[in-house]
Amino acid sequence: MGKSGGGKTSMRSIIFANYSAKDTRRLGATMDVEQSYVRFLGNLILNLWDCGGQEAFMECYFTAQKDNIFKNVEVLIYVFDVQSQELDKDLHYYQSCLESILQHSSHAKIFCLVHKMDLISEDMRETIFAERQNILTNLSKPLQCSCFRTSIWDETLYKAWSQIVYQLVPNVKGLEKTLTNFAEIIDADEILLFEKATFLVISHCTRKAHRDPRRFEKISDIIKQFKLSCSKLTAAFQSMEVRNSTFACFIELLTPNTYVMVVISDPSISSEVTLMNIRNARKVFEKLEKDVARN
Amino acid sequence: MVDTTSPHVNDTSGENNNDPSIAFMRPRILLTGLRRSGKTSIQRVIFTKMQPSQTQFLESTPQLVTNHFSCGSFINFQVQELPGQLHVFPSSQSSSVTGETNEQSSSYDDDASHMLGNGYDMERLLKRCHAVVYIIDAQDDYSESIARLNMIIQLGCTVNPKIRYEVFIHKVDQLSEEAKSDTQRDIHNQVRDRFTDTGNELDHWPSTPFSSNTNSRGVLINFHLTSIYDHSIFEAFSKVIQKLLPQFGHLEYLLNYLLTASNIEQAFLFDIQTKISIATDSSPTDMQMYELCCDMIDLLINMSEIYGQPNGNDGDEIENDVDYDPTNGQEMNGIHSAAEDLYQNSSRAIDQQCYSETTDEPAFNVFDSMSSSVIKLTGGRALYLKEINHHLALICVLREEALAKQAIIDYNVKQLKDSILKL
Repeated sequence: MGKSGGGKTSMRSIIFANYSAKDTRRLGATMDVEQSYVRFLGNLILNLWDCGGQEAFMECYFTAQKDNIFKNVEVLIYVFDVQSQELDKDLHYYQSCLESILQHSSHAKIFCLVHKMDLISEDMRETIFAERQNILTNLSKPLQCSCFRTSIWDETLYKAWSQIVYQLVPNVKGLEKTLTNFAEIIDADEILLFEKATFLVISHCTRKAHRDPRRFEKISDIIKQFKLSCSKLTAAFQSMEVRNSTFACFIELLTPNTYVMVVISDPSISSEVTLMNIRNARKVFEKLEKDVARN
Repeated sequence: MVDTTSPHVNDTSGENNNDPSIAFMRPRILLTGLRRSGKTSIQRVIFTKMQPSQTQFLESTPQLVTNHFSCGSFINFQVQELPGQLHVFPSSQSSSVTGETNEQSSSYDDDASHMLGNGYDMERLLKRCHAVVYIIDAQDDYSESIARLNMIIQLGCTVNPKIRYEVFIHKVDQLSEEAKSDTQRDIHNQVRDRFTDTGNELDHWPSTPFSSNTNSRGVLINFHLTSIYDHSIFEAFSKVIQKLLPQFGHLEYLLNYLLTASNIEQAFLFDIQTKISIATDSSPTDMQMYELCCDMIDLLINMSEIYGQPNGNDGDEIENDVDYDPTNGQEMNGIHSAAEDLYQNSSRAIDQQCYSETTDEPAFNVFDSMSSSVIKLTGGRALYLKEINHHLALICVLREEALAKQAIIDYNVKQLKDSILKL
């Protein structure tokens, strides 16, 4: 949810529908609620309600459609346009949302995205975001909200959405445990697990500390961009290997719904060995996925 | 106020006259156009990897800016950017032939906020350059721009008939396909018209959409549709540089040989830093493949930057990527893969002539001798990237089956690498 023109549909299109940031220019205003069913991790179906933010619709959500919209919500994502001139009005609508959520789906997780941060010059971004985060956290009490600053033009979009979908991954702990085992066996520095369609990081195991805490979303961004480029040639990438003298990184399909990225810095391990290990690990992860699906 | 052009001119004009081989090894490109046409943005996006969206924060360039661009030991370019809002006039009209400060020239300045005491001697600039890249803003009314272009071409013909003119019809990202070809045709006609006025023969209208040739009195003019928001600017600039490169023929030959020897479909030699293609094989290339190769380079560099830092760099800030040694204490043009600080750099007041040099230092410290990448695509194709030297990478497009003979390919590539290094 969020005010009209805030960026909700753009974000959704980029993450779930393979739009590039430029493509979102041609999106029009969303009329009423657009429901989409997004396949995630193969057998998980996310029911995404993109609520048009024009005032007429907003008024409706809190009155006539209240039951319909706010019942059975697992995740509320509220998008704030950082450049909005009507902050008070935005906050007022947000509050109405919170009231409705408290009433009908009090267990929902709440995410606030302070969006279009690219329009703010870089040196101001942290300060402005911190300010907003403060306001929103206070306003949301007693509910808890997680705030992120985002822009469709950089990797911050992926960070926020990665956290959002992480909440929804079934058996995420089991997945992490298996990944850790795998990493130990093949002596990898780091292993990331991506959901296949969105390339959001859903799990990871880090055995060697890394200095860049923002690398996950950067990688999602990098790979997604490349994926989009490939699609221009009506091709898609299947696997890749990148190396230099200090590292080697392999991105391969692991299960029908996930990609794995293995980072190895031991130069004595050849590519073939790692690829073979990944091939063998596939069976384990596929079984894991099937078990979860059955349960 | 520092007198900018005269010491510079005096330095190199003598060099030009006495040693033509050195001048040729350093092809000089004069980048010009009206103000706000996009010259600095183009340079920033190509040479310093600035994000296109950040270029809207760039200020107008007040001075002549010279960028040396060097990739490897044998490719050297000098790109001189002539700011748009200054009035440049042929030396026959000015009294600044000797390069002395001309009080009168300030009255010719278009933009009062950039009053300078010096006019630039266009004739001298044209004499020393090998190519003029003229930027026309396609989103604006371009009649004044074309008038200026025609003036430059006329002057150039008298001073240095060997100059190539490359016209970039810029900022076409917002235009539809139809509008693009209309604009190109229109500009082409207007430039031609000017020349037919002086009694030259009408030329055959070329049919290729992306670059067209006009030959009036042997003047080479090419048109390109470009935008910094996609790859067209890189492709256009690649073409410009390929034509200026003396070793291009030889490189093309080497690449063709590689193709036949290793069952590869296409091969490109790229400069990593600027993503300009220095050489390609003779087979026709389409823009998409070129774009994909550029993206592959991006991927390689970005991933290497995250995971492939040389050991011992763990304590460094994330923001700091490769820097260059400042030359003569003048402004350093550091290379950042995400242009975090560039906004600050470019808005700093520049007192002297802005002079930045990319040396033989590695373009990226994460791009080392073992940098390589293999990307497999659906449909059986694969991309194979291999480092050649600090600045160059070879990218091959081949079938996945051909990749199975990787050892042979590696050997051939190594031979290629040695040949190139010998050049």
